[in-house]
Amino acid sequence: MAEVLDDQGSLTLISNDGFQFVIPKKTAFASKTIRNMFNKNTGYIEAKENCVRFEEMNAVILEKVCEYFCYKEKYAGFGGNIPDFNIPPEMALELMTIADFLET
Amino acid sequence: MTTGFHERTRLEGEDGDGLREGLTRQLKTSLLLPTRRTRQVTLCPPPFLLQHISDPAVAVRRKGPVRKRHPIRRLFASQSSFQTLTPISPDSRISGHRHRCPTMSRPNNVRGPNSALTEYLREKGVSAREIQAQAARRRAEAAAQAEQAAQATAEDQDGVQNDDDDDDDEGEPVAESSAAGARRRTTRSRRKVATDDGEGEDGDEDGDGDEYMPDARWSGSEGEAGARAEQVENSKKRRRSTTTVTVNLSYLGEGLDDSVTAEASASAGKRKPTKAQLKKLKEAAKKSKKGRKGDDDDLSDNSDLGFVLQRASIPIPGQIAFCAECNCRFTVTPYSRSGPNGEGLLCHLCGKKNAPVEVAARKKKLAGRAHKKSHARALLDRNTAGVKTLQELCVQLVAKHIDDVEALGSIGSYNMDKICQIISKNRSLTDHTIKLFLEPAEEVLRFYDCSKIQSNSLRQIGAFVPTLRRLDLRFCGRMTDDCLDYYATQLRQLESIEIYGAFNVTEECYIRFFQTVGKRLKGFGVGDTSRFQVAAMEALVDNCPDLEMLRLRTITHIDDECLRLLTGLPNLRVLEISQSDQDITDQPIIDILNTCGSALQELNLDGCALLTDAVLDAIHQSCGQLEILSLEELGLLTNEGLSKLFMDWSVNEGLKSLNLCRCVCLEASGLARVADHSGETLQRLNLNSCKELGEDAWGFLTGCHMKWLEEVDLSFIRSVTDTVVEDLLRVSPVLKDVNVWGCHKLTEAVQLREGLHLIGREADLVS
Repeated sequence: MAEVLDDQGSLTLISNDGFQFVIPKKTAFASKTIRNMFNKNTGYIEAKENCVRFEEMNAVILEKVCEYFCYKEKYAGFGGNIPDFNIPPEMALELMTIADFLET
Repeated sequence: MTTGFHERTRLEGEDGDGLREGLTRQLKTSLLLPTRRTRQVTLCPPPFLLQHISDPAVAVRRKGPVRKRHPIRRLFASQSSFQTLTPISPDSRISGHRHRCPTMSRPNNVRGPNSALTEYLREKGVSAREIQAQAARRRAEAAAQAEQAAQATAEDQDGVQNDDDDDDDEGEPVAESSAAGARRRTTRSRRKVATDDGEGEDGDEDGDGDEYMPDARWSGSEGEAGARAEQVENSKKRRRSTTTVTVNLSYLGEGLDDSVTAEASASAGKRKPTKAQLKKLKEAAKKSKKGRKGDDDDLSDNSDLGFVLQRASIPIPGQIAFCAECNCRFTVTPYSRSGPNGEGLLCHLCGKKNAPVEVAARKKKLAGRAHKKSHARALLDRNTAGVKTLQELCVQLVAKHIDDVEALGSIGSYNMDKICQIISKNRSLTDHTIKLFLEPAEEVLRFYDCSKIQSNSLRQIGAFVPTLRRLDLRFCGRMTDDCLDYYATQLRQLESIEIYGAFNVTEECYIRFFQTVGKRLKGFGVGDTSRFQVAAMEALVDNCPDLEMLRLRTITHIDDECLRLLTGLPNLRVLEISQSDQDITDQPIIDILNTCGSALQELNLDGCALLTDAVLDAIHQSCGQLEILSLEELGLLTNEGLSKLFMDWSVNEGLKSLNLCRCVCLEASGLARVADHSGETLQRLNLNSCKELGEDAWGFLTGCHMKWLEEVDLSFIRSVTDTVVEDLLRVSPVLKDVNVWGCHKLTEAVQLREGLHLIGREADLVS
């Protein structure tokens, strides 16, 4: 199925404790899972509402994920030295599970 | 002494010849000054000189009366005698190191490790023979000259006063070198005439002749200066009391007889200046101290004398000098910086001014080098450039903090394996961390480095993960019999097990294991043990007839007899017999291929060095399904054999992986056959060290399309150039890894595409 994507504008990511993160769609599409959600052909409700609710993420994790999206967008195709993306060690395992889910 | 040196330059700069003459006298005087240092140089002949003089080649020149000579004359005399012994080629560029030449020309053929210098000389074509020939010519000329000047010499020498104590040591050298000394003087006076006439005639009868050649900085007279410095240094080594100043002295002596002296010596009939003269010169020198920098310029511009001076004029620590920038007086230290144009030294304050700039420059240089290094390291680790995925970042972080992790949780078996690989590489897979990977429902477990894991912990795998179907353990040197026995009974679903490095497990244990597991076993791999022998092999073949995968890696006691048993395993898909210590010959391998060849998908015969083309024929005939073929280090395979294997091999639809590493006979035609047959299917190709592949070998790249090729190893093939790699990239769109160790024709200019790992390029490694 061909991928029909509208990467203009922004979308909202909502954590399980109610925090909302509004980021540009293009940035959020670093995650394959989110991109699939917004594929018009698959018809997910998220695409219509422009909003994704993550029941398994709290605000701290989701913020880190958003931070990573921005980091990735900023340094994609960057030739020089890319600074390290800072992850607190205690968050690593949880973030890994999430990253596995988000395919990013 | 060194100060006197500066004074000279100053004098010369100020008003030309008159001063120059005076200066020369002063210099000579300074040599004559009854200081301890001077005596050390002049009084005792360097022992090695004496040694040379006893050489029969020189004996001819020893005739004549033994005369007492003045120390300074003696110095020159000994220099010239040295000159005759160590001939110097005027056109050589590295004359500073000439003193090596006698060593090189030594008649014995003993050769040892060469110093960098010797290598350098050899590279530059400075050969002792050539130098000797030139010296012989020069000696002949000099002898003729000496005869001419015999009269003058006699007169001169009569005038010389000498009050030395140890004439006995020097008697012969004096006699020997008097002729040379005479020659030198003659040359000087001749030159004086030439200068006066304005002809600028160059006397090339000796090494001093080319002193005014602008390009002669490294050759000719300066080289002699170097040689002489060495000579003095040799004597220094023996006596241990001479200081560095004596080295300068020899330079001085050189400069002295080079140009400045020309006039002075001609005019100076008297060798010993009067006290009044000395005093005068000293005063002049004091006055001239300040302006020495500018004068150095004048001198260093056009003559090698200038160069000599420049080298000699580096003040030694502890001296008082004047700053090249602010002219203030300061004490030279080892840390004194040189002036803006390399002349003179800077005082502490002026030196400090430039410090930040230099530090920044050094930092930048270091950073550049570090970047290059880290880049090369990243390439080796196959780290992709650009942003890592969040999963990679987390995996690395978890691996780093693996000791603090209590449980990995549900991170997926892929990530789990990744973490395991990383911590195995970091050698942090221990009894503690292995527990993190023992998830109850796992079916496949791989541990890449079990060297730190006790047998008990290995046993726990059987207890915690009874659902295992496949188990790979590497470097499990601590595994014992009861561990393997436990697996046999506990892991009911086990189909495949690979155990490498379990040298403690006995043959009986293997036999018990095969008997217990029986037909269930589909795959078995064992390696790095000497306890897996014929009996175990028999038990394997008898009990596990359904075996599909067998890997025998680095097993000591696998021989032809043992291998023949494998004909009882008709279902083999994967067969590896690599790096066996025993001599494995063609016949058993051919027998195996005849029974199970038709089903084989992977065949690995690495390191069975006795195998010949006959095996290739068997492969050609029977292995229709073969996808992976590894024939590393089979040096007896010929190009014809390999060509024949791939020619008209219609049974086989194409290999996916081919390893011909160190099949040194592979040539262009063989490679062309490989490309014809498997070019379109190959994913990995290893041609490491196939040195016969010449430039013509890469012609096949124009006509083929290697659409699946991902990895290629072209290391140590000398014909690999930028063009080859570029062509390869053109025909293989998915190529990711190219190994090019030791391909020294490959340059930085090669056009690479994004995401390609070019590993081992010399230009990347040398910083």
